[in-house]
Amino acid sequence: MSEPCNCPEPSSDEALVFDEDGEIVRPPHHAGPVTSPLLGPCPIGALDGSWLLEVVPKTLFSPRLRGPMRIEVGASSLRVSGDMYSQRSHVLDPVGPVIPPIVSPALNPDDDADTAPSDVADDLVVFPLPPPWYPSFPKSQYSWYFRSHGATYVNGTLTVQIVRHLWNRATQEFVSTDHGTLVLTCRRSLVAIAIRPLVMQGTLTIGGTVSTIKATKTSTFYRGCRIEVDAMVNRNFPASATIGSGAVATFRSIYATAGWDVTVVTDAINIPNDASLTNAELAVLLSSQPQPATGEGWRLWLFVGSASGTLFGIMFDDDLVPREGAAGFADARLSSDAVIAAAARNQPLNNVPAAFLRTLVHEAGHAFNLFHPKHDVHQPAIGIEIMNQTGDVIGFASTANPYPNNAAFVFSDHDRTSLIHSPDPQVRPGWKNFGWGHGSLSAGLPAPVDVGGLSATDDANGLVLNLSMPQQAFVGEYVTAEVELTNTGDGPRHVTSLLTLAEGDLVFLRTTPNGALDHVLDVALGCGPRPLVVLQPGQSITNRVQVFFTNQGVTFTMPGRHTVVAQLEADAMTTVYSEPVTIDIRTPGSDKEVTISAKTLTRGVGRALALGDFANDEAARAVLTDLAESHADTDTGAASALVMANSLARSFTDFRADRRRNAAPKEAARFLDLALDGRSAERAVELAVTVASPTEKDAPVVADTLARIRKNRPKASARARAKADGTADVASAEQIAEDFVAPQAR
Amino acid sequence: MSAGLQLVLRAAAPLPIDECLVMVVTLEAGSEASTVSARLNLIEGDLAVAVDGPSGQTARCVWPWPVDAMPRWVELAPGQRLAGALPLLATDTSSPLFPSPGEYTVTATFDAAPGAAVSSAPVSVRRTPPDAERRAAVLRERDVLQSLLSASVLGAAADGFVVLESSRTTTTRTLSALALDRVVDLVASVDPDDDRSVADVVAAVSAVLPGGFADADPRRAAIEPLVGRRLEEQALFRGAPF
Repeated sequence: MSEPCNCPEPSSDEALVFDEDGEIVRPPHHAGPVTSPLLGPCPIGALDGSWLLEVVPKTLFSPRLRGPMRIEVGASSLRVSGDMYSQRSHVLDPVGPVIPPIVSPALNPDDDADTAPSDVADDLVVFPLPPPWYPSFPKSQYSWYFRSHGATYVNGTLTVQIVRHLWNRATQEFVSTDHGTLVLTCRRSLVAIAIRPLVMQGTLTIGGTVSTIKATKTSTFYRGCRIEVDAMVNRNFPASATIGSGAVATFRSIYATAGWDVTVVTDAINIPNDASLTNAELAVLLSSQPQPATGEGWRLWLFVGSASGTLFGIMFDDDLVPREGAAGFADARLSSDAVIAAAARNQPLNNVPAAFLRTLVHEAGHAFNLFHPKHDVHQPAIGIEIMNQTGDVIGFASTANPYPNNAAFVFSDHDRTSLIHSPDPQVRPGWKNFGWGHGSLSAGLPAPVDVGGLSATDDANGLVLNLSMPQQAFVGEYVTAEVELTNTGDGPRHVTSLLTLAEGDLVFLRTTPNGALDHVLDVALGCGPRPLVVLQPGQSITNRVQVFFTNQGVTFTMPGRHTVVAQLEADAMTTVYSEPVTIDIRTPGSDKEVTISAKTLTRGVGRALALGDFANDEAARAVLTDLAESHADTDTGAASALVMANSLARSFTDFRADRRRNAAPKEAARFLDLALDGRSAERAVELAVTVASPTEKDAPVVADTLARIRKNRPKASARARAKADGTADVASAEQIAEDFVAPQAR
Repeated sequence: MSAGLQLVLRAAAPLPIDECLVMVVTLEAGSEASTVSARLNLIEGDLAVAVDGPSGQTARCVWPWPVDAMPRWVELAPGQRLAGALPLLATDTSSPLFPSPGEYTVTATFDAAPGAAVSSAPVSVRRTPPDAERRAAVLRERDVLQSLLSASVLGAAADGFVVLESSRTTTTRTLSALALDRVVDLVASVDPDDDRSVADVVAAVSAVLPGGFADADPRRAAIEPLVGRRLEEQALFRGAPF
């Protein structure tokens, strides 16, 4: 939906060359003749619009890789961008009967489309002509984004140099870039009207591989969204408005100028009156709207409400699923300034359709992650286009050209380009938070990866991985995490029981406060067969791990917010990720915390806490003893005591030095008592299983802790009092110990 | 239009990170009268704050929800001032603005008029270790931070407000009371002769329901009898020059 291209139709092999910004750099010149009397190269204008780009799978097991591609053909420019989504093909499942369904995009009229190359003669098949649609896929399948860095169009062949930005599903960020080439050939019949969607065939060269690709045109627009409008009683959604030029504008026509196909649907117009609305009330209205989200089509809720202070509108939705709703306030009044059109002075927006329509389009623009120019890091000019605040547009009004007549009902070039070409996570409602992506995309060294991107595997359908960690800790504090895998599907699943950081199936992906990404694993890594456990529907397996000292050293030494995602290879075909959790690491705040931190931030102590044994490190032994004796009321002190109990319950031989440390059961028992004192049975065993090395299922500290807990059970007289919680506490502790040895499905 | 305008951040006393910080900012006219934006608040988009932390990071503090609004103008006579209050709780992405104890530097920038931005001198703020770790944890929760800023209870913030009831500062209790719509109880608990408490209430209310913007909000009406006799507090509450 761009301006008609002034470029001549390349009915021969005329070459049109576009630079990295998409601008034309070489005028066309005439060359050879058309090769076929019936098929000729498509005019360049035919490329303009939305396409479904599919990588043809090389084998039955190849990931299904497809996504939207947008080709913007301007008067003297050509820009291409796209978002690719991958999903593993579950043709065979070697470990169980459950085959997660392959999710197809909503609005896709051709779900069963063959991805094999089709004959161009298909273009001559007559009916039906599908309506415009916009390829959209589950966010969990997002793999990479690309944009053009130069292009040529000659004799029906589009060659695009692309920069690919690889998406990390765990961190939900772009992590690196590489480069490739997209070649697509477009032929069209010269003698018949093609009413089947236009199809291009070609190749994608990237990551050292060449793939066959197919592109199917889906619309002459670039993106589409359904706008669902609810209105409070006596407040009106301005279906149309006469603007300063005398033209009639609608919500749809304004977005059409940015190449967006927006469908506005008015749902409820009888939301009960409330003179003043808070963000919480707006959030409740959004969450309680009667139209449930279905499929993957983009949608946005727009509310026509009464008032919120003196605001004209607000994009109020910035929660964990952000940018799904925005609101305009019909009762807000224009001022009586001379630069306000006479008929609009001191009028509520409800009575000034052009002003209200502008505000509603503006708020929806925020939901598509557009900024006010004055707040945009790209520093576009402040002006009279849609995304300027009304106040700023009024700043350009005069008595001769008053507001809203002076407003331009179009998006600025900067915003238009963002709407068309910014990555899906930035633009699609309900994905990244407001403001994301307005800096440059993450840079970094390009990594050699295949066409499937970094995440060629899928989020697992029917399996949910939960990660629990403390919300905060101080530098040097002992930190543990709980991992739980649940079968939420309809059939049994065979999954790994290795929910530890030491055996390869589980890894924590940690993003530090400065944005660096680490893979967090145990300091001891074991290799062996993958024991499987059967999870019936609704069942879970659980385990606890320490994350104080890992392959990263002391894991959390940098104050600030760390984000952690657990990634589990649940079976040979399935990778499942947890939702990201955050842990705020702060500097020690009290004298006690300072003391603990000073003692734990040494490599020897860290290794002892990770391995459950101080081995031959006498300095670490002394520090652990001190921590256990002085700070057993804290988890860090208790963990230290449990390491001492574990170490001293067994002998240790330093074979290189030919020295042996004998077991000291009485000392071990004393440290065990320190760890148990004042601590619930459940927490004591949680700490015991985390200090024990995951590869040492027979670590004495687990059995000894459980035995001591059982021994300390309330006697008959006290049992009645403690029955309600004490018995449950011991039972819970027994389960945790059991799960340490071999996680049980429950 | 902005000749001689000065933006001044009032210094704040050291404050534990388990309490809410509201700072007062004033725009001071020079020797000439100036017509300036009256939107000296975070909500309407003319004011922004940068906070430099102890580990070298800089956070941006603006209202987390983008809004559209009319301009509001006020005439400042020579020597006159306009006061606003800044809720310094969260970054523009609703993360804690002061994540850990330490020395921070705060700088405010105000679009006083088109093309006439004015910045304050940097002011040091010392955030000390929390008195109550649970309360500090609550003040790191996104829903709680957004609730305090929006003066309403969002998402899963309700439980956090139970914890905030133990706060020792008037500022935190006022922001909580506004979110929970318990302003009457708040007013009853404040000694009107305690100038410090009254000033804190006025600043907290002005930070999230500023005068000139939220005049019709009934919670402001409930607070109004408490507004002290001091000219500056009255002006801050009403968003009027003084």
